[in-house]
Amino acid sequence: MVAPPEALLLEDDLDELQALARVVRDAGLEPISASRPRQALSRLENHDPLLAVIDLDMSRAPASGRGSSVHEVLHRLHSHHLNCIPLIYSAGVETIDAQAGVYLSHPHALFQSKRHGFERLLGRIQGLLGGNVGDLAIRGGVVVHLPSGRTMSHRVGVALLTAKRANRSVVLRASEARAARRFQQWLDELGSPVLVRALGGRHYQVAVREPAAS
Amino acid sequence: MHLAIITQDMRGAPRTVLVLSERPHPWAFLRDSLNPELVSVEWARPSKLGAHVALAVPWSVAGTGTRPPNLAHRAGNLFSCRWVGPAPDRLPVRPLIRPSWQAIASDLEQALSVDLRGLCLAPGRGLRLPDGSFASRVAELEALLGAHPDGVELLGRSVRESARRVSALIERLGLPLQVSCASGRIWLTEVEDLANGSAA
Repeated sequence: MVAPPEALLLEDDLDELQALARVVRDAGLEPISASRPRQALSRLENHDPLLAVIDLDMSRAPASGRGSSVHEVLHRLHSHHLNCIPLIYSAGVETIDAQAGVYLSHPHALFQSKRHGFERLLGRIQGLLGGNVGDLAIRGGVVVHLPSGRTMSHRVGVALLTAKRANRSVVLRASEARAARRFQQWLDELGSPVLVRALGGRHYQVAVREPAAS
Repeated sequence: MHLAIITQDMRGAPRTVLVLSERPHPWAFLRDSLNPELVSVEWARPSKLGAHVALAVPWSVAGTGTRPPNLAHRAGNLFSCRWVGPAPDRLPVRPLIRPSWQAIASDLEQALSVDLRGLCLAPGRGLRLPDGSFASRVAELEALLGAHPDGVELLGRSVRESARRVSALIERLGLPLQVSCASGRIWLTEVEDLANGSAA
């Protein structure tokens, strides 16, 4: 039994936190909810999320939880959780200066303005977690080969597909690289055009095989 | 199973354009202009060029301002360089001077889409070869492909060693290309061009 991939949710509005948790759970991921940065840092001690949805504005968080900042959470994700995709959901990311501030904490964060509403955020999350790559998709937290309906539940496959949706690579340790090779074998057996590419330096990315030039 | 904890290691990370500017606006402009499947856009202030962006060899550098960034550790690496306005003296690569960031974006878009006898940049990193297959760990060839046809001019360094490495790579991959070099500049040439005597 493979544990489902996890998503860190840092949101000080408890109603929104619960709604986010529902969306993430519907997508087959396990939500790791935190309503203040210190709690999020504590959660990261024992979890390794695939996705982090982070509100920059923590004005509703209890004062006792503000000893750490959202930027510390972003720093931690960047330094210790390279394969986690941070999605900043905030009213304060519409200016370039604000985005640059986030960039300095985590250069690969994605942005989603609160001005566009919660529904747009949900669509963005679903796009990252449920979109297709070639003939594969993530459904219920596992990789599904759409033509055959066969599934691959290994976390590395889910991480590779999610990273591809965000135009990123994943960094794998040796044991995970072996899992990536097994994932490739599974794809080959299914005749999928999707392949796992080793980019060098432990970085891997999936790509859709292109037809040979005539 | 945990995918991390892995410390930062950007070697082999996806292809990057490194923007060197005190203000972040050129970074945001290029980030929103260039195809994110092909390239990611990194940013550093020249005065604070830190290790977090310095670990990976950028595919290309774009900058502005006359304050010299600390790129000494990149001396001898192949990457194209473009600059808006007067450039600092101590860059490891001679920059192409451009009038605006729009012009740089346009240059980079073109560089990302170069197709040289069927050889082109693959998404993320690496090259798509003429037969449709993929080659990884070819950063120098990626840099020269993106700099085609002008090539890259290294300042204060010989390009012969780079030329030897790229030539060996071209031979190993069986590409209809040749690498040429003269006066610190290195560039790719199609084999038929050589036959016509158009290369140095």
